[in-house]
Amino acid sequence: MSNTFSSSPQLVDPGRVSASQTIRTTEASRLGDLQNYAFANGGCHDVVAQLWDAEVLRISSSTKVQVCEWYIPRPSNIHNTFKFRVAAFTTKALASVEVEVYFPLSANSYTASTTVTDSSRYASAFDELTVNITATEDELYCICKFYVTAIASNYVEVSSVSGRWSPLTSPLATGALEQGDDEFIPVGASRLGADLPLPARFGVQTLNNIEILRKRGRTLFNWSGCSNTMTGHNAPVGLGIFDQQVMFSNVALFAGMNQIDLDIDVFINIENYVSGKSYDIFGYKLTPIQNGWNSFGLTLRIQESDLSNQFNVSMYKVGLENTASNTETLLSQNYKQTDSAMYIKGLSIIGV
Amino acid sequence: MLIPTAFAKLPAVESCHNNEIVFGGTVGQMANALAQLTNCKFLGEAHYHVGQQVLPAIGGMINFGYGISGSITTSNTYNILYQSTPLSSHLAVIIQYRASNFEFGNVYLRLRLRDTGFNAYTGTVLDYGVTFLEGTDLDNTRDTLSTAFTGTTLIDAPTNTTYDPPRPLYVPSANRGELLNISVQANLLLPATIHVYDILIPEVTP
Repeated sequence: MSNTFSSSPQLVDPGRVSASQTIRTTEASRLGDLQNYAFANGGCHDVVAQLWDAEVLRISSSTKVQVCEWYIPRPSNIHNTFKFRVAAFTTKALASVEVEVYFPLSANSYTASTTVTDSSRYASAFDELTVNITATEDELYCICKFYVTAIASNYVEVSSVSGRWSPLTSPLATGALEQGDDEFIPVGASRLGADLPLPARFGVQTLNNIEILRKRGRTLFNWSGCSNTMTGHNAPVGLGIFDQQVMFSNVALFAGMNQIDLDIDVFINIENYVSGKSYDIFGYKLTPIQNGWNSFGLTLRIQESDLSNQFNVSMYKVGLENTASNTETLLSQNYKQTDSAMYIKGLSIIGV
Repeated sequence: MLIPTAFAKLPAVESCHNNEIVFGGTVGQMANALAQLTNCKFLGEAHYHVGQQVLPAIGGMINFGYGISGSITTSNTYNILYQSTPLSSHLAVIIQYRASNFEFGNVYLRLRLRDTGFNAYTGTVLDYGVTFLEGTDLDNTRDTLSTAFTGTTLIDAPTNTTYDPPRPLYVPSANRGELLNISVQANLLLPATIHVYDILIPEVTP
């Protein structure tokens, strides 16, 4: 009984599952196919995406240094391959880049590294790193860290990075598949064929599977400041007052999420923590409590954006708010990092 | 069928227990909920913020497009990697930018879609793309940011071999699910953010 699925699944015709219609194997098979497809592919788009203009992000350290850090969602406990792409060049061969996926609760890390191949911006090809999660991890959020090692007296310039979890391939593994503490039961394709009984178990598990997949995280916004950059090439380390105009995404959020207790997770990475400072993000005034990552679970309460009409789905502006309060607390001429000002060095917003 | 966009309440699991009659409505709700997941919630998106230099003492952006924080130059290209899904067919792109000097130069913004075979930036062209032109599609915005948007019209597969007026980019069926490269060419224009979205197709024939 193989848990197969098609790569472009067909939907169930609603006209065939209305009253007085016989539930055919076609409809039951498609219900199973859609579940398996959604578990394998859902949430496997970009979870990290960031770009720097020419000459902005250069690293000259000949020892390995951490440059960026993002909080990312993981689709399930068996999505074990993370692909990270780096568009970069080096002024001398054999410089390298490394990516680490770190699970905060288990404190386990998994890494991959490669040498940088290009010698000028967008010369030929980007570099791809594959991180394999080799042990069982049950955390649905992890931290992605990016490192660079340059060759002495030379530098590496990074143009962009992007990363995502690889989808699972057909067929799904047998038995219960975990997503955090939840158990998704994959559907055996042959059990939904002709001349076989459709057990009550199929209906119960389908409803349970849908509830689990609704919880799966999507990256709505992700940004990291840059550390250890080369002197004279100063990429942003934290969010400044101008960032109120750009540090947000217009994204789809779905009606009904509040009613079924689904929320948005905001992760703020703080440097130079000062008690009582707060930031206006996603319609809330959020007060970090420590250096490093602070997390907040928030319900949707902001206004829908005008883009909803264009996208045919409810769109919201998710990210840093443009407020007088933020103007006072973000980095500025009057509030500098060199004066030990508290600042945001990373912001990740993960929705459902 | 119409693709639902909301998380509608599901029927009680008891409605599927032994000795219960499974009504069409129950199965219909399952079908709708799964269509919402596959064809709406799990569509792809990517949100790029273009980092510019900052004053090292401050550490964050306090302005954009002048001084140390970026300059509006001639013909700057950015390669945007985008992970499509098996259901990505049309891509909408929203770009925040600053541009000026309309009277002295030819300001434009061009998008072209390529594959990424061998990780190359110059893979096969999948969609020859679109151009935003000064005066019609772009704003002369010395002091504020403006937005360029492809729109979300569900176009047929394009046949152009030069740049079209603004429209969504089209992903050929053979390339859906692959890593794609959106080549962004900016002439006398400085992008601040680049957002890419799979467009929801509101009605799909089962």
